[in-house]
Amino acid sequence: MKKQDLYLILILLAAAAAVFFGYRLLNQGNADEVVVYVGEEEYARLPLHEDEELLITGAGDGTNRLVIKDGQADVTEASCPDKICVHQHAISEIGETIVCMPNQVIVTIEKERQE
Amino acid sequence: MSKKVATWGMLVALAFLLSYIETLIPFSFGVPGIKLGLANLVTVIALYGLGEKQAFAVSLVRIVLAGFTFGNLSVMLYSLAGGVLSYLCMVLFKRFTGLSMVGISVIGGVAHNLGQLLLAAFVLKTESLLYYFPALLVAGTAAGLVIGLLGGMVITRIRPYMEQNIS
Repeated sequence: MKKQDLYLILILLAAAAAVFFGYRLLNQGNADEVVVYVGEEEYARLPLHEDEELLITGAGDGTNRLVIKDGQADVTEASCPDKICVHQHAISEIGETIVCMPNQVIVTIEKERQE
Repeated sequence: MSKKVATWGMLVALAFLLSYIETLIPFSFGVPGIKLGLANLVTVIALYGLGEKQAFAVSLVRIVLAGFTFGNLSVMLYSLAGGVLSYLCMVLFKRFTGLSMVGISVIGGVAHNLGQLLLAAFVLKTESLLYYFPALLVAGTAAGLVIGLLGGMVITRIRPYMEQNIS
């Protein structure tokens, strides 16, 4: 391993840290929202800190069960064959996503939209 | 001729095996289709042991083969996106910078993940995936580092035999 390699690794790690902390800094706030997109359209927008359940109807009449509880959003059931979306862990931070490709469903956390 | 076929076949088989091992390791982010990129080890070995064109050929064959066998079309597309960007970056940096195999491998690992992330962002039409950029950077760097070190050990031992077989 040469010096150049070490510099490269350090630069990459520094870039990762910069983006990580920058992102957190820009997204401070406590009233985040769980936003569900089906395809490109916004399907639902719910507060993260209120417990709620929603049966999402996605592409091709596929369904995903969204559960918001204790400040986390999770997909607990789905009609898709692979159920990758169900295995993805619950999300709670702005930017995190749960994706169901077959149903074209994206569940993500966003900063509260100022009405 | 048959030695050439055997060597290439062995490399593809090795990459194929690494792709399979990847499927055994749970690695789920908020985005489906993202993988570790272990098979990059073979790309790096082919790049340093045989050459640029050969590395590309071995990678392409492996991606298509593994895609059909272990995944579906979507997995293969992500593999392709990651593999192509990874290969391009590795070749460019190898030609124009003084990085050693370790550095090139790190570039390959990071580019692999970046390619997949870019494809996901394009397919899902969202920029929110930027959230995963730091994690993928770190994972790509770590994977690249390990592969670079392993690759170095492998190349010093088998390069003479590879050249023998191909020429």
